[in-house]
Amino acid sequence: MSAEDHAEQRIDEGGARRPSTPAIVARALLYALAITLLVIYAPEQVEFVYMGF
Amino acid sequence: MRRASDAATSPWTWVLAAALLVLIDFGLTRTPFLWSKTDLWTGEGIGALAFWQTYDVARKVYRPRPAAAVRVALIGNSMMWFPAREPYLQRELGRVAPGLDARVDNLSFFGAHIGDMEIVSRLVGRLDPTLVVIGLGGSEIVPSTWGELVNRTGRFLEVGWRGGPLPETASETVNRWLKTAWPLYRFRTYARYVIRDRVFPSHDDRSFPDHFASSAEFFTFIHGRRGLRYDAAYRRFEQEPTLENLLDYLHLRYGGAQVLNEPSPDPALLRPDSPGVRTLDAMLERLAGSRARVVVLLMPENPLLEADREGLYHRPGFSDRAAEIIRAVAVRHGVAVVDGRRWMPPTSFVDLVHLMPDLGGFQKPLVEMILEQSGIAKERG
Repeated sequence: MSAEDHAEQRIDEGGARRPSTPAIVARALLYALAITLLVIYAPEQVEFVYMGF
Repeated sequence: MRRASDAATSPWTWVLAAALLVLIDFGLTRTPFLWSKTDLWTGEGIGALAFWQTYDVARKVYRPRPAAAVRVALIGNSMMWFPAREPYLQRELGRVAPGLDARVDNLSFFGAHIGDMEIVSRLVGRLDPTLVVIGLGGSEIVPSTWGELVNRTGRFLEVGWRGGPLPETASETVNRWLKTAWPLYRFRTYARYVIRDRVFPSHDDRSFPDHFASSAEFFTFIHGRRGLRYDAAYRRFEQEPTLENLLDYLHLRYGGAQVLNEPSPDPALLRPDSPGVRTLDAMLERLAGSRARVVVLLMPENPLLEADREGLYHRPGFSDRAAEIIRAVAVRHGVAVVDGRRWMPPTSFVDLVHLMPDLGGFQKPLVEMILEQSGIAKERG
C-alpha cells in the first residue's frame, strides 16, 4: 500500500482528515501546559497577601 | 480538496489534555517540587511571613506526617506560633516524658482570627489528632486593627463544599468550590511563589531557628546587627521588669506607633450573638464531633498590663469578658477550657502580648497541659 493510500484511509466519511497521533499528543500537551500556566498565573481574586494585611 | 489536519478540535486531543492535566497536577502538588521550601522566614515583611506560614500549614496537612501514638494539633496565631514551635515542644516532651511517641503539629499563623482558625479546623482531621489545642487570647473573636474575623491568609487554606459561618461573596464561594475540587487551583499561589523562588532564589530567606541560646541570638536573628541594641534594652527590662522598662525597650525596637497598636477592642463588642462568637461555636461543634479531645487554651497574658490602669496598652475588662464568653460556648460542646492567662511571668514576654520563643519557657506548662489532657501525666504518676 502506498503512502497516498494510507493518507486516503485517514479521511473519514465526513471528508475531514483524521489527525495523526503525534499531532494529537503535541496539541494536548500544549493545551495542558497552557491551562496549568493559566491556573498558576491568573490574577488573584484579591490583591496578593504580599501587599500586607 | 482535502481539509487541513485538525488536531485542535479532535475530541481525542481534549481527552488526552485532561489526562495530562491530571499528571501535571499530581507532579506539581504531590511531590517535593511544591513542598520543599523550608527557609520560610523571608525579608519581605509580615504579610509574606504570614503567607509562608499558611504554606507550612498546608504542607503539614496535605503531606504525609510521621506516625505517632499521641498526635497534638495546635491552632492559633502569632501568640501560639512563636512560643509553641514544634522543636521546643518535642524537646520538652522528650525531657518530661522520655520514650513517649508523640508528634506536635503547630498550625498557627500570624494574624489568624477566629474565621481563619475555623478554616484550619476543617483541615485538622487529615492529621487524625488525638488532641487539638486552640489558643485564644480573646481578641481573635472580634475584628480589630490586627485583622478581620477571616483574612486573606485563612482564605488560602479554605476548602469545603459547604462554607463557614461567616458570609462570603459569590466569587469566594466559586473559589472555594474550585479549590475543593482541583488541587492545582487550591495551591496555585503557593506554586507561583515556589516557582519564583526556584528561578530567583533569595539569599535572605532563612529557617526560623529550632533553638535560641540567648535573647541576643533572638534579636540578632530578627533584626541583624541592630538586634544587639534591642537586646541591651531588653536585658535592662529583664533586670527590672516594670511596664515602663518594657515600654522603653519596645519604643526603641518599634517606635511609638507599633507599641500603641490597639491590642483589643472595647469589651462591649463581645456579645454572645456576634459573628465571631458564632464562628467559635461552629468550630467547636465540628471539633467536638471528631475523635480528638479538644481544649481551648486561654493564652498567657503579660502581667504587666495590670499596671496599665489608664488602659493605654490594653482594654481593662476585655480579657475576663472574652474568657466568660469562650467558656460559655465551650461548655455547650463539652470542650475543656484551660486558663493559661497567669502562666507566665513578665520576663517570658518579648512584647506586650507575645512570649519569647524557646527562652520564654511557655513549652513547659503547655507540655504539662498536653500530657494531662492526654491522660498521660496521670498514668505516669
